[in-house]
Amino acid sequence: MERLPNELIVRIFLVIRHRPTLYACLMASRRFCQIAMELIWVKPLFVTDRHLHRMMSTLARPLTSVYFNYAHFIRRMNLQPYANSVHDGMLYQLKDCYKLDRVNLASCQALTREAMLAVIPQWPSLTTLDLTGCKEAVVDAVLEAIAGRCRHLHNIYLGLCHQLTDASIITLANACTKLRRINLSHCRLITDVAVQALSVQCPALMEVDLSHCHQITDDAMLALLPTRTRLRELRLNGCVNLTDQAFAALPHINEHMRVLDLTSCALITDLTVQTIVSRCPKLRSIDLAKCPQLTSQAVRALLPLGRSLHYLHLGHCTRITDASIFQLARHCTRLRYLDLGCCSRITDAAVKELAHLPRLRRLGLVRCMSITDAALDALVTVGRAAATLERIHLSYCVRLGVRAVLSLLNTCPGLTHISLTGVPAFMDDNIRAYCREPPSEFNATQRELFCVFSGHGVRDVRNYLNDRQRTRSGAQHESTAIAASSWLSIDTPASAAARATVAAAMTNASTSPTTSQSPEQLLLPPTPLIASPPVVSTTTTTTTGQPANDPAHRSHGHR
Amino acid sequence: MSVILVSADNEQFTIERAVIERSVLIKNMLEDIGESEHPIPIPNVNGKILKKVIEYCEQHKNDPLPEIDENQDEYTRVRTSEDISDWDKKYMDVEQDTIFDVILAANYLDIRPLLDLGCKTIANMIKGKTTEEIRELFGIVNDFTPEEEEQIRKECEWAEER
Repeated sequence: MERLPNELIVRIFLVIRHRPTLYACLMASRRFCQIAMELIWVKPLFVTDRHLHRMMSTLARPLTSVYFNYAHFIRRMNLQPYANSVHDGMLYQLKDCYKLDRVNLASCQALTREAMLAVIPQWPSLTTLDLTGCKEAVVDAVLEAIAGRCRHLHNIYLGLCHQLTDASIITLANACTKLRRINLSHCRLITDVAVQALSVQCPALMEVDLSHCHQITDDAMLALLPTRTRLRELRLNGCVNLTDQAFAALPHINEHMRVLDLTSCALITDLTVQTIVSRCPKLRSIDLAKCPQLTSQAVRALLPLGRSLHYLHLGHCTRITDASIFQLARHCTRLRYLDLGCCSRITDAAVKELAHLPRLRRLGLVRCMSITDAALDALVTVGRAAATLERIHLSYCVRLGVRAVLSLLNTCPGLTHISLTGVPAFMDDNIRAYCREPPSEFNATQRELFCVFSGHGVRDVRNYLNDRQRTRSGAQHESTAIAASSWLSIDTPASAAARATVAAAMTNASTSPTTSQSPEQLLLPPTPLIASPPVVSTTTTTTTGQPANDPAHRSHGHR
Repeated sequence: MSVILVSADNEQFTIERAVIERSVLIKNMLEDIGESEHPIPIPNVNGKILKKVIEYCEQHKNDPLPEIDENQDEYTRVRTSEDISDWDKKYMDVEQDTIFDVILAANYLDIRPLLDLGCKTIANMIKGKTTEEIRELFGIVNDFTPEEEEQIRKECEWAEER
């Protein structure tokens, strides 16, 4: 190995991605150490906070007492994973890292503006800077100082830095004309003036996030959009003042546009969707949730996107009907993500068509209250979407029964998440034992209704329900009497109360039928629903392993 | 059309042009001099290794040429050491010295995929080993003073732990 020239040894070391091994290599000889120590330091990664502190203490030593000037090796630094233990002292240690190229300080909320002012402008090679969530420190003076020295910035993320005003964004635009990506989400003081400056000074902009910049109006878009044919991603979630006029400004054709988020742009109409589709033929992802004026005409306007469209959110677009979803499923066959939450006119017929989508990974049907077991049965029978489905959201689809959900669970091999909050048939403590912990901010009623299975929970609830079916089936064969008694047993007060809560919450919901759980019926095609006592579990319950309250078991698969 | 190559130890090889154009060095040379009957000397590579390199080029003559992203520098370019095909694995199942000879030849002849294969093969030999094991594997002499070694270990111990 020693007869290889330096650059080839470095090349071999670059392939070794396991850092302890790389470290072992460097320590083999002086020569290896000299030529490749930089590799360890170029993009430091830490197993724990403790390792981060150790690296910092090496940087703190005087140059005369260290073997290498390590600060000059570092080019990338991501402190976000350790945000809670990052303090000003660490930032000062990085002051001499003049080669720093990408720095992520997102959520490092203990950093002060003094430290940022003193250090960040010392990194002239900086191309990417993430200050998301550094709410207190990032004020106009800080951003202006950074803009003044870091002229090569390509990407800057300033989400939640709500003290920033137009003044510093204008300085940034004037100084860093190579900007490609900027995130100003939740910077609520920002107005059209800032966007106009960026539009004029930064011709290379590809990704712009102005979500929740409530003051933005059509004028900002009239400045940003017309000449910008390389714009790839535009997020305008919650820019409530935007109207159809804003998008009339889109360039005649933009081949690069991939992602548009117009969530809660409540004034836009079908016309905007038509305009966007006609000018952005390769759009991959569009978020139109909470745009209440949109109708089925908007869905039809999306059809020309065909296979390009992968992601579509239409939540709360309550005017959308089955007919347009039929057409969507037939034209946009590569859809991976579709959300129709709260689209109350959607029925089983629409889901039957969606069942044919060959790549569907996530389907959101929350509060589509017309949906019945027949919809899930279609997913099972067709089997196409079911083969790829990973997440399905069925909360408040109050008419669903256990039988249909179980058969869906048994058909979707890749399912890692299913939500059934507020579905009366699942207000059963034996089933909910496999549900994950409700979010801490939920109140008592919300906790009572919460029913979400993810990660191992999906597997465990499936096993439990299958076992329960088998037990029942056996019991029925042996003795109808015993089976009947077990049907009536164990309707716990808690689950009965939960059902009452749901009933109260669902003012619109008609009587919520649950399925009759005769095991024979499981093998038959869907039959009309028969009103029957609520599903209860047998006393024999599960033979599967995990105890239901094992916390490790429950904490899987957070969103 | 064929090309004649002459190794450092004067061995001659006649190869199809499409095959030897896997070597960017020779491809560029042929483009510069055009059609020529003259043998091309390869002074840095002996016959045994040149034969081995040609074997690789024959096998991979129809592969798409690798794309080089000039925007990324050496230190940050993403690499993967997985996914070595069975043929490649067998091809590299030779003595350590031969692997290094092939790496040197691939570097000289500018055959990126072969260079990468060689580097991956060596990297896979190293994976999971300790410093002492690596020294033994490649016959490397430890030329650190104990004090030096101790100092560097202290300064970089954050990177050492698994």
